[in-house]
Amino acid sequence: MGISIQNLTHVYHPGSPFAVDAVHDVDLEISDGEYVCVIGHTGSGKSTLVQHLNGLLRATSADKMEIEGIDLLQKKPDWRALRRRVGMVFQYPEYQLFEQTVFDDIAFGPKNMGVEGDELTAAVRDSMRLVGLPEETEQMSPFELSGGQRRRAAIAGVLSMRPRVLVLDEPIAGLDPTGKQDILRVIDAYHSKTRATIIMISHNMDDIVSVAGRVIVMHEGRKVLDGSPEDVFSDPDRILALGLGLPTVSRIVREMNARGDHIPASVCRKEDLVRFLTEGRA
Amino acid sequence: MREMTLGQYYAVNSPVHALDPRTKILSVISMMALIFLCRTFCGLAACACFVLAVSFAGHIPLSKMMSSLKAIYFLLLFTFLLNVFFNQSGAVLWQWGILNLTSGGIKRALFMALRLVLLVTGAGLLSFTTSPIELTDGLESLMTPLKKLRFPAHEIAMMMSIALRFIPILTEETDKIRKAQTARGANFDSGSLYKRAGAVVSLLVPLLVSAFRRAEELAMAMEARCYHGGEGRTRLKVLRFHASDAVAAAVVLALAAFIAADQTVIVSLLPDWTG
Amino acid sequence: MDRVCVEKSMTDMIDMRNVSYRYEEDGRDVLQNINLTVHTGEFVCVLGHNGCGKSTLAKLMNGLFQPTAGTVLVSGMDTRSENDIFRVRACAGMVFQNPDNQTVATVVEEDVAFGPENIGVPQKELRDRVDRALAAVGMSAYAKKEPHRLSGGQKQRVAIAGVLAMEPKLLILDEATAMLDPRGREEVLSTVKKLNREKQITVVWITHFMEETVEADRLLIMDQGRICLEGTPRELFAHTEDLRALKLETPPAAQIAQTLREHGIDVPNDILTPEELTDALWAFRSKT
Repeated sequence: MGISIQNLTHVYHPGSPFAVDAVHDVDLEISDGEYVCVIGHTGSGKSTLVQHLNGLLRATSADKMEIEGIDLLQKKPDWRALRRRVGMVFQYPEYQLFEQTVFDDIAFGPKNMGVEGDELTAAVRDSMRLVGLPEETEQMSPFELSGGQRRRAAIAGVLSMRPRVLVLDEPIAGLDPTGKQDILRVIDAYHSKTRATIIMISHNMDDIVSVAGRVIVMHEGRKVLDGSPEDVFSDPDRILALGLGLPTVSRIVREMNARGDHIPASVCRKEDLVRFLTEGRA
Repeated sequence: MREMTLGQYYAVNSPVHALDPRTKILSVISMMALIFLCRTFCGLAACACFVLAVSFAGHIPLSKMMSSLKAIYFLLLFTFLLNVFFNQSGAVLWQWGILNLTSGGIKRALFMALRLVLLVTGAGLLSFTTSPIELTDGLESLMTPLKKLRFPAHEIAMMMSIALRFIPILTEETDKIRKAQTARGANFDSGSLYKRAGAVVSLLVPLLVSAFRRAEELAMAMEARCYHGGEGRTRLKVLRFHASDAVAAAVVLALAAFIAADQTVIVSLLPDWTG
Repeated sequence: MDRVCVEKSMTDMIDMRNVSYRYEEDGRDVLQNINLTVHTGEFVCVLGHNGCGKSTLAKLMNGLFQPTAGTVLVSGMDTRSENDIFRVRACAGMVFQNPDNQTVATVVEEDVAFGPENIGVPQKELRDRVDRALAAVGMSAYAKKEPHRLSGGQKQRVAIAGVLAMEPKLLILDEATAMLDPRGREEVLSTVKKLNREKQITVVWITHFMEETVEADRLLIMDQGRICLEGTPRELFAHTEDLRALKLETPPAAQIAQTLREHGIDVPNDILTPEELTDALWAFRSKT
């Protein structure tokens, strides 16, 4: 079913002197099962864009907004169905934990969606396993968990709704290297297990090239680049001009080529670099 | 979302905005006292002229001044009716059942209503022309003499200023948590009372936890920067009176003198208008 | 940063002897028997996974916490001495992780003035100190702005200015870049490097980002309340396996270099930065 958006514009405080054009004329087609990373620096409109995907923000204007089979431009879209299909993990999600026990907190989402009884228990336990929370934490207070565990519990609270689209806003911010790897592994496991669509906002270009099948670059409210990591990073000067960083491999390739080498600019992962250097092809 | 104004501050440059906040606080307090003490229409008219003149000098549009009355429309009406029908002096102009409309009653009611309007608009002038930060600084400075009586002037001002600083942060945070819980199916706007209460808990608990965490971190950061209360503290920004403050004070004094004269002289010559 | 250029005097900025720390009397030691000397002018980085005790270490360095056992000397002053405590804190300035939770005032310049106001710097001198501090972090243009309208990187630079205005000899940054985007991180790191280089301010930089530590004079790696590895970045990042056991990793360029080596591409095993890797690859490509 996927996501199909045409000419989405979002203005904060329309008509007031503080009006801010946060997203401008964005078209977006995402098919089921894609792993998309959205990049752009602070204020580029990427957070605003993804908050439309489950109706947390409503378009100021749009020609088409069809998300997982629900038309958001109709008068009364089925919000509950939409929010069940599109899960949203915000920045620092551990700050939204509130229930007495980890179990109850993870159950909050599915319960609101009308899941009950054994089905609810199964949904909670499944997502705890998925994020690697040991069973004995189930009856603990979320505030007793370690920092990394809290983050995983919060993500489990979204996964327990079994969303078909999982949106994550900088899910690894503020974690130590192991914590980051844990979270990226959880997302990857959910993606390969359920074939859900993943849409992740991230700043870490090295992570992005290793996980994403597609990269979307936002700049000043507009979608400026959209394609495979190879495509997007094959114009490194453009990326730098947008004030963004490059994956480490792309940085090295760019510098090598500046010195006179001829490495294809699409080489952006270390595996690509190895292949090019050993087999002479990208 | 990011743009929000605190209180009613109307940010323009004007001679009134430029006055020392202490001058403005003291003037408004004096004016309120005068409005209460004043017993004649003539005196109230002088106060009204003062309020209008200040709003003009402060570039505050009349519509803005009137908007501050919105909150008290009902109170105004109530006061008026109460006085109209409970004051039975003077000639009876109209009668219906037990209700008598008298000339004294109308005068009294108009007087009370006008007094209320002036009180509210006068106080509004202070908040229109003084930012919350300036107000805090002004209050701290005015309260300083009370320190000798062990009144925690510095602590109160510090609390006000930190509250001001964290209002936008906590507003943004509320918005974010609300969105996050909405994404998990919490419903803040519809559904049974029980369900809505559940949604509110899912918002309030994280907000409280976060506020405490922030308070703890802020306290640590303040301590790291050598904070140890108001004792021995110097200030970067020291409030200073200027010539314009003297002018303002003179105007307020003139108003007070007029009202005092009005009370003693005019009132003794004329029959009591207010009944 | 460059150890050849900076003249390091041999006085010790921080001297920790047999320091242990626990939060509650009968609790476990969160720091165990730490012995650490930080020299004047040094740039020391501290790495370690969440909960290893790095933040506690930082808070012992400016007297926010007092050691349960052992002594902490900051520029020769004992942090337990009540007479010196404000001198200790002014000398060892701290910047914390969350930019929003360390700003006190509603105007940038007043926030910068907060520290010196507390230690009673005369009003005439305050103005001067605030201006100099804001200039040193490149934030003079924002003196009258409200802190909550700044970007994360700008807020942290204001926090650094707030510390600089107390004229410290040492700057302790406790994961000051953790919540920032790449641009903000770069702003803050380059600001601190400049202060270290040009004003000889000693720096203790605590972080999770390996690439931020590659130019440090010295690297400390902590685990379970102890300093378990200590050395130059080049020495420590050569031990990939040890790092992994400590839940850490090597900087990105080092990881790439290792993958290349595993596939028979001959690059040195002590590469830390993309520049070094480029040089090595260039040499490799020129040979073949």
